[in-house]
Amino acid sequence: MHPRTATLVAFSDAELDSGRSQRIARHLQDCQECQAALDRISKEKQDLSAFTSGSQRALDARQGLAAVLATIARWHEAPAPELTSRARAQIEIYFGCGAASFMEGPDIRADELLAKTLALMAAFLGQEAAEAVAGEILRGLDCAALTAEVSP
Amino acid sequence: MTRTEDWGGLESAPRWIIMVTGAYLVLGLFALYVWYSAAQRLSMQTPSAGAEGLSVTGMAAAQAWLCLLVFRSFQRGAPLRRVWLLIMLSAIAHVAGGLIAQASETAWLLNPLVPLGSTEQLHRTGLILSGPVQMALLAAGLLAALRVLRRFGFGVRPKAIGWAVAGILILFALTRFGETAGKQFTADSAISLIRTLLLCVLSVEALFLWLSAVRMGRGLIAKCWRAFAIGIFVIGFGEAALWALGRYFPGWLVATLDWYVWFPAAAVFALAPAHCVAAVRRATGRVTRPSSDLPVRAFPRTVPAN
Amino acid sequence: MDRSQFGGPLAAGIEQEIRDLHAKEAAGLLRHAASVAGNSETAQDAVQEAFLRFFIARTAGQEIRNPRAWLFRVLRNHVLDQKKAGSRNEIGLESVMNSPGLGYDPEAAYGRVEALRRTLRTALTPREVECVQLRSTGLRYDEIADVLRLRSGTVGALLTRAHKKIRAAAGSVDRRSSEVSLKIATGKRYAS
Repeated sequence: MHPRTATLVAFSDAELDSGRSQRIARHLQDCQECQAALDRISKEKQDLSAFTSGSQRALDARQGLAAVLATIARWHEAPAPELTSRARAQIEIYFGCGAASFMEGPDIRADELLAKTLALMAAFLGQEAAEAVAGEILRGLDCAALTAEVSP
Repeated sequence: MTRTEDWGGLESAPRWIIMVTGAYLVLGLFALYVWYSAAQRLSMQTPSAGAEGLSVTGMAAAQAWLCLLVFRSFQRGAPLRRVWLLIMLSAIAHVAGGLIAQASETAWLLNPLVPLGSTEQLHRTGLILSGPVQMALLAAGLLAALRVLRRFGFGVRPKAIGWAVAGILILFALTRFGETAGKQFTADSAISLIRTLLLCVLSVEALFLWLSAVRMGRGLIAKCWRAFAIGIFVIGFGEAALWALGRYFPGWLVATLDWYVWFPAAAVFALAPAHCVAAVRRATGRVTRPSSDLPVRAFPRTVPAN
Repeated sequence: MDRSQFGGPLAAGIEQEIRDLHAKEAAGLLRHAASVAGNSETAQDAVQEAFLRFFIARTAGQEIRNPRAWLFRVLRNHVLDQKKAGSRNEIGLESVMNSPGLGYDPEAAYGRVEALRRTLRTALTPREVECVQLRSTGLRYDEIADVLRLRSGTVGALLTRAHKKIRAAAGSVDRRSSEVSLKIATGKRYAS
């Protein structure tokens, strides 16, 4: 019994469990037709890679790390106050004003409130919703704005 | 970007439930009024009575489905995953019990449940599932929910008036308990006793849930937990009112009004997960919001055009 | 909430986690962002954004079981969010299908790869293109499913469909190419 194309694609991507992989590997030893199909799939993978990547210049990621670490250092000093109002707004939408007032203590920092908000969302709405709310809170705030006063 | 219709999608489930419930109740009251005005000369099929009525079962099915949607939004290990599992099982027990009880009452030669046992046994099984089993699972789920609410600071100690309200329900439950205990002990009376005890537990839980929801505010999650409290209060006070009415009015009227306790309660129990589903869908952006909801500042960095 | 989690050993641990992740995943993230956004500056921004969000999520106590898939998902959502916000960088997946790659080489315009690209432009759906892109960065099927909010089986099916389409496209490109060669050869024979 020859494996289907989908099975061979998954085999070439090492996505099958070990038992099934071994069975297919044994079959390929004896079946030239399926071996040829597997070779064709490997060639198609190269064509697909070429199609999706084009001929891109190599991009240097090292600069980005420096910017991220610099923002993290500034974050510890002074996270943006705008985060407080955004986090509070999200708590008000999903829980209410009472919860927002309760969570936002007198001296709470923006990053502390953000952490509490995300923990609350994860507990009551699930992880996916918490991530989406985090995205909503951080939307439009770039590296500089995350740690600076937001000018009107 | 355009806003989706306010009545479209799962996020509008709470509105639909309220609308359907309201329309159903109004129609039922109108039909009851017409029938009563016609001096009962017309034959009228009263809505199936009690917790196992078909319409109540249908609403419980909606609740079960909505609970499943909420349950699936939590990952393994999340504190509220177990809560919603228990509440969903409670709704499923309600549906199963209602269907079995209704089917067992059907005098039908081809009734598929007949080989499983006598209709009386099946009816009792249905009553147990849609009664004590459903209430026990709900009580367990809400107790777990109260623990989570307390962990996040939403636990509130009730004041005297709160205890007084819950006390009324507990007093009613104990009175019913005393009445039933005084009679010959049968399977049905045992079921009734267990239901009564569970109603006491649920009444106390409803009090704490209500206060936690009040502390939260008026957001979607607060509405969810508030709905559970309201549902329990509707059942408790509704049954208390019917019990009191039963002393002064004929039994057929009280049996008819029974539906007007259980159907709204089932609708409110369905409303609870509906609010949670609406909250999750709003958070994950599956609701199309108008462009005015997007932040005024776009990503500020300028990039040279390619 | 304990204030100490916002400084001290936990923060240092998260920073080290970010350094390690960046060393492993940044190149792949950058390539994927560049191909989705069609712009290297936007890609750099998006990668920085993804790592910052990771830092914020970890500082908030979120447990991230699969950081690689999480980063790709946040990256993708960020680029798509930029499109919604009406950014000038709003190119998105369509760029892969409607324009040449970032280093377009006119001399290769008549090469097999460009011929395939033109044929596949209309053949592959955006979802199939995304699956192929993510697979080429080394993500497993379950990670791709996590990024795109699909089931693992659906990812396998999309990749299989992409394979079948490129097989059909390659076949038609090779046939056209041999027809052209035959015509040229025939033309030369007649000319001589």
